[in-house]
Amino acid sequence: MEEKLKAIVERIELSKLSDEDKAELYATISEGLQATVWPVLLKYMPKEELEFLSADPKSRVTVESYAKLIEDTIKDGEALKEIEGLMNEVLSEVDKALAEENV
Amino acid sequence: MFNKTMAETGGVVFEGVGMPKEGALAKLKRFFHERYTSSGVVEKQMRNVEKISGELTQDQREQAMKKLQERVGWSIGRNVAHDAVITAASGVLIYKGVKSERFQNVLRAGSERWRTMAAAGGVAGWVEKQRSGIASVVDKSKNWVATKIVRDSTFKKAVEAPFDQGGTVREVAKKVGKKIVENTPPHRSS
Repeated sequence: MEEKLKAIVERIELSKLSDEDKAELYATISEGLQATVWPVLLKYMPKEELEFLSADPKSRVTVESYAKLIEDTIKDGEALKEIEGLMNEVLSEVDKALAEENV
Repeated sequence: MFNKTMAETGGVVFEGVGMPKEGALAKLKRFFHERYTSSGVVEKQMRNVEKISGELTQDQREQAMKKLQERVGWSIGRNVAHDAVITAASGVLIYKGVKSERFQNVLRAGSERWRTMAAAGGVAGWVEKQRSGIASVVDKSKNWVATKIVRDSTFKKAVEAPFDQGGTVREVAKKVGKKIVENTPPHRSS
C-alpha cells in the first residue's frame, strides 16, 4: 500500500494539473483513506466496553480507558487487515481515475 | 472520520454547480460519496463513540493514542493503516508516510483545522455541527469549495474564521464570505 500511495503522489506531482487541483486531489485522497477507518473500527469494537463507557462518559472515560478501547478493537489484527484492504481498494480507485484522465 | 454523508444529513448540498471540476477529481469524489453512503456505519455505535471521544480534550485523545502506540509498537509514518487508526481516534492528522511536501502540507492543514475545531468545542461538538448543518459551500464564482467544511483543506478561510463561538456551517460560511446553496445533489448536476 505504501508503494501504491507513493506512486500516486509521484504521478500527481509529475502531472500538468494546477497546484490548486493537486492540493484538492491530495485532500480528497486523504479524506477517502480516512473514511475507511471508523466503519471498520466500529465493527470490531467490543460492544460491552463501548456501551459501558458511553453509559457514563463523565466518570468512565479517561485517557487510559479510551486507549484501551481502541487497543482492544485492533489488537487481534482483524480490523487492521480490513482497513488495509479497504485502503487498497481506495488507492486502486484513485489509480484508475487518474489513468482514465491521463493524469 | 465520522462518516456523515450529505444524504444522511438531510441532503444539504449545492445547486447547479456540479462537481467542482470534471475529470479524476470528480470521479474520486463520486466514488468516495458512494462509499460513505454504503459504509453501513451503525448509528448507535457511532453516537456512543462520539460521546466517548467528546469527553476527552484534544490533548487527552493524543495522549491516549501515544499510549496505544507504545503498547502495540506502532510508530507514525511506517504504516498507512496504523497511521489512519491513530489519526481517526485522536482526531489529528499525523500522516508522515509519503515524502511529498505538498501532500504533507495538505495533511498538516487538516491537522491544524482539527485542532482549531477541537479547541472550539471538542469533537462531539463538531460532529453535532456536521449532523445538523453539513453543507456544501461555494465561492462567489460558484466554484465548489467544501462539503465538509472542517476537513477540506481548500477552505482555508474557514480555518481562520473565529470558531470560538462555534456555529453552523451556514454561519461560518457567512463569516468568511462564502455562499451556501442547497437542495441539488452534486452528482446530479451538470
